[in-house]
Amino acid sequence: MRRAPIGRRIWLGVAVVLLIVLVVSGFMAPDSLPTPEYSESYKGPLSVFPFGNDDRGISLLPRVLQGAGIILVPALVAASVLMALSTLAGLARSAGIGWFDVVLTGFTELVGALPRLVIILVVAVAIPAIPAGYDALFGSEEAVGLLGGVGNAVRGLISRPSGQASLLPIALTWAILAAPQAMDEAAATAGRLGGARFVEALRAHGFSAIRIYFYHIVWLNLRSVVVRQGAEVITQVAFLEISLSYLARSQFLPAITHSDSSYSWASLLYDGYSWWLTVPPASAELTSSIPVWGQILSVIHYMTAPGAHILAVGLVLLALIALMAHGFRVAARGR
Amino acid sequence: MQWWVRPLVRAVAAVALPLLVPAIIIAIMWALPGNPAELICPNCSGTAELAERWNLDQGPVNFYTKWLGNAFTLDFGKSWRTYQGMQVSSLLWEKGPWTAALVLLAAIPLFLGTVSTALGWLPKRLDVVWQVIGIAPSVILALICTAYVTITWGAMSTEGPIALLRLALGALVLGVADGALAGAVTGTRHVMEEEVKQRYVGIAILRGERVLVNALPNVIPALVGQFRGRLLLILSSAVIVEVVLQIDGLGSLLWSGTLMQDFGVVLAAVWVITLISCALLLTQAIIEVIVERSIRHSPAVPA
Repeated sequence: MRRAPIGRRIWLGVAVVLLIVLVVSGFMAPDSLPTPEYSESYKGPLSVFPFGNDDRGISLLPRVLQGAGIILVPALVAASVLMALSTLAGLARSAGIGWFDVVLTGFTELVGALPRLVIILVVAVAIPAIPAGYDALFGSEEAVGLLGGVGNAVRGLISRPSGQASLLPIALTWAILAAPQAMDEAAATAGRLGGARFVEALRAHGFSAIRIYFYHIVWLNLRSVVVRQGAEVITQVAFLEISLSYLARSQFLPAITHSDSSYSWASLLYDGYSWWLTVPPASAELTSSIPVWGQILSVIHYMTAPGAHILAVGLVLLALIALMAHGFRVAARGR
Repeated sequence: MQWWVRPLVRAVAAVALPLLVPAIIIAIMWALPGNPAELICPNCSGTAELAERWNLDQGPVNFYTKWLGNAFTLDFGKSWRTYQGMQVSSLLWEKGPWTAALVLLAAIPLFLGTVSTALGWLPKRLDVVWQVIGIAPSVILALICTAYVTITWGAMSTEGPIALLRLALGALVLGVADGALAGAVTGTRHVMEEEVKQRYVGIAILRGERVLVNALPNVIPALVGQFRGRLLLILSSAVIVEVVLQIDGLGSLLWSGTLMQDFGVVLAAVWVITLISCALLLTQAIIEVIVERSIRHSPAVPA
């Protein structure tokens, strides 16, 4: 098999390294933050390695790790669910299952017409009701018996949810809401190969069904679409968490994606933004003395003020998530 | 699959969703721990009276049928907690125009992007620019805009011309953030490029006809579908932009209602947004049927 071009391998390396950093950070996240030391407030990354301190003199590192911990599992679960559904759609189209197209169209139109963020808000309201739903489905032996082996398997795999604020149900809902478009795209990609005729042609060459479906269709053809979709969902879940946490924090309300004892990356943005608003502007003499460079000097003034690193850390974390998704997208691009 | 299946499914979905969405929300209300009346007044005694007054005492099915019956006459009852005692319909009338203006203004760059790409006016080398801008999530761009307004005019300036400025900035954010404009441009380009590869277009070129005249009718349903998806995305993201930029629209109302568990507001706001989505879905289905019928019945081009 031909090796992938060097540019693509570099992007793959970058994406994998960033994913590993995210996973390790998520698992290293501490349960609580250290005690504030107000004398150490706003110390920059050069004084307190690696990210500096916040307004209370607490290192930003545990806050960054906690933020990664909030995002990690829900984003990966959402991406896995979406990739599994997308792969199934592609395989079903290749298998030439007649009724599948009608079912997929119905699912696409019904779920695709729902405004995602609005539904996410409804799910956020419904989180306290999830334990009751779990009890109704898997709480008693009779209820589990009605679902047969599936009920037992689900009860064994998933413990009873707590009903506390959590990103996981929101991320799963996001994956399901994003699924119709993703499934449609995967099915269309498989359809462009020739669908059932493609499978027949490969069978005529003597390939086994497993090789045809999992190597020729999934690995060689659906991979680029499915990996890109998974990477996009990881980014979307991360950005969604940050947006929802930011909105709640800006209104001094409890977060809907995590417990109040942990800190999202949105808190870095909020603190950094609040700091930004309090920095006195650069002197008019400085900014107006050299007209062309006035605005640049003003930006430099903000960037070098103590506390700028909080906003910078928040923005860099967002950029790294976007970079990771882009890396996977480029690395998985079809040849 | 027959051509009429997709428009038919879209029409069925457009009819089903306004019935389905309130049913799900009402089911959630009853699944939440405690009595639904306790949501109106937590830690209150005498919730039985409240339940009777708010029509919550006869179970979810009764509440659903009565709420839906009233909703079709635009009577959504009163807000439970966010604006306690106020008619939800007047809240919707007050805040709806702001969201409508925001979404329509945000749709302008998308519409221009779609049309100019379809007509081949927008160079392909600019796609990278739209994609780079589109990487930024709406919350970040909205924050930058609100910081600009706050630093320049103060955090409390939310009325008069500043309110209009916030609206314009919000529309700009919605139009370009989260890959909205980039998606409109690259999505349209992809559809057009795929269509131009078709054999009939090659034959049309050999006959001396213009590519666009031949390809455009066939891609209109796909482009309309893409545009509908992006409008829905804008409508959905308006929640974030309205809260961050302090625009007093439906999104802000829905956000407050969600955090306060005000189902009077949540039900009505979600239902109205679902209705808008269904109207777009129905429009797409009708356009698909019109295009399909006009292509089938178009007279043969004289040789």
